[in-house]
Amino acid sequence: MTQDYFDRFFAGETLAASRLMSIVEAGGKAGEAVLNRLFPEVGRAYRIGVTGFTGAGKSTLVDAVSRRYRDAEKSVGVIAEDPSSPFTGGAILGDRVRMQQASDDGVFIRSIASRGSETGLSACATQLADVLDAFGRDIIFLETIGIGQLEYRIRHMAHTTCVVLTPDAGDDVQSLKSGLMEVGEVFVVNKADRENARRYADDLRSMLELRQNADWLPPVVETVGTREKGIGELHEAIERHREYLSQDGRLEEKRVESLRDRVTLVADERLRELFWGNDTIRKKLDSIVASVVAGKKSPYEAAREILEPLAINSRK
Amino acid sequence: MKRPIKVLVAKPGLDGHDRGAKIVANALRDAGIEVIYTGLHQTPEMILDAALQEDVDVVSLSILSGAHMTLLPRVRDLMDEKGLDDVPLVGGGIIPEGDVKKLKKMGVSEIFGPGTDTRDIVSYINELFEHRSKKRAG
Ligand SMILES: Nc1nc2c(ncn2[C@@H]2O[C@H](COP(=O)(O)OP(=O)(O)OP(=O)(O)O)[C@@H](O)[C@H]2O)c(=O)[nH]1
Ligand SMILES: [Mg+2]
Repeated sequence: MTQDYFDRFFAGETLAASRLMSIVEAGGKAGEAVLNRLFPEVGRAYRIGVTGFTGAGKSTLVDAVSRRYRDAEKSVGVIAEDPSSPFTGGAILGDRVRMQQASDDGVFIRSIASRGSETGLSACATQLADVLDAFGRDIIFLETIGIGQLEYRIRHMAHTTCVVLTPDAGDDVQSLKSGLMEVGEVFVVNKADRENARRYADDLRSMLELRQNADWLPPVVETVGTREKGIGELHEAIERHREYLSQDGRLEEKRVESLRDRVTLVADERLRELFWGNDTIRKKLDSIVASVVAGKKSPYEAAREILEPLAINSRK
Repeated sequence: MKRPIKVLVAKPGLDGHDRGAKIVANALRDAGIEVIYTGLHQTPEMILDAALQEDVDVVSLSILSGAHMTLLPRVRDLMDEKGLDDVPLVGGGIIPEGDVKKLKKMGVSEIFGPGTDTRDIVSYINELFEHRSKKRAG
């Protein structure tokens, strides 16, 4: 069955790609087998991360910039994540609503529910991007869920990370969390049709200049996503960052960083599963907790004790 | 391996409101289903693209414009052509009894009238999904 999918996948059939993505999304051994098989084909696509507050205009901008790439005859993939309900596990994935115009054969949009992942972009989003990468998409957008707080992880998942803000987002630029400032390689002030947009963008610029500690000074682009304003500039800003990355081995550096992050993440997850899924450990947990409850041990001593089986050279 | 059911909720046609579709989308979400919501004015081709790319388990179209006799069979045909022949298509809206029969003959799985309890839609979709999972596995 899966072999049949691979043949059709490499022949360029959308449904095969889509079914393989579902297998990956379901996880487990089968999902991993698909990722292993595709890994040699992964790495050609350029990945653009798009993050920012809920409703800032991420999908609208992805749609508009996609069109620029389509005009340049690049094929496009989009992975768009929306939150799952923590209560029912259900979700309404609505990013497609704002991605109508770019929807032709050249744009493959896949929506994904966060399914309990606590970051703005789940590990699975990268895996689905890998499938699209192997499928031959030139440009892949990764849209995070609308964030209230920070999204750091996207750094490792994309080549160029765009942070989308709006003039009314956080009252003034000073109030932006510092992590958000560090994660952005391109800043977008969308909804520039609103009051104060220019001032907001200027404040942002001077703040970024003040904080600059690398050769790359993140540009601030003002856009009106719904009216195609500033989209050319945004496209250019992304391409300029891509150009910057392509020099002095930066792209390779980023690749190493991102793969290291990936390996650590997967191993970390597996470790937890193995550890907490182990019967002996679970029984031990019960008895150790009991001794904490009885006041014989502190939670810290208890944690140390339960981790003893993992004490591989921990002294060093 | 239990995974969430994925349903595409789309609103084809020219009429400009999607209240019905949104109510259905919300009810499905509350029942633990992942809804891919496309919004208004979808052409059959756009619906097909979305169904293919999202690999959904069920396609649900909400139709008010009276164009159900062309839209539903057209989407069904496109889906069959592109290998989605085992993905059920359901419709909702004001559709006369006689047409419902015809549509079912044309491969539309079910039609939900305006007064339908959303819980009935949810349980119908759950059943469809189980049935299909069994068929695929077996
Ligand atoms: N006034 C104005 N509205 C905009 C602009 N860009 C987008 N919008 C509107 O803002 C709303 C949210 O846009 P989306 O593109 O869905 O925002 P998003 O960041 O993807 O939202 P989530 O994915 O829900 O976090 C929509 O109603 C858009 O039409 C803009 O430049 N100006
Ligand atoms: Mg969005």
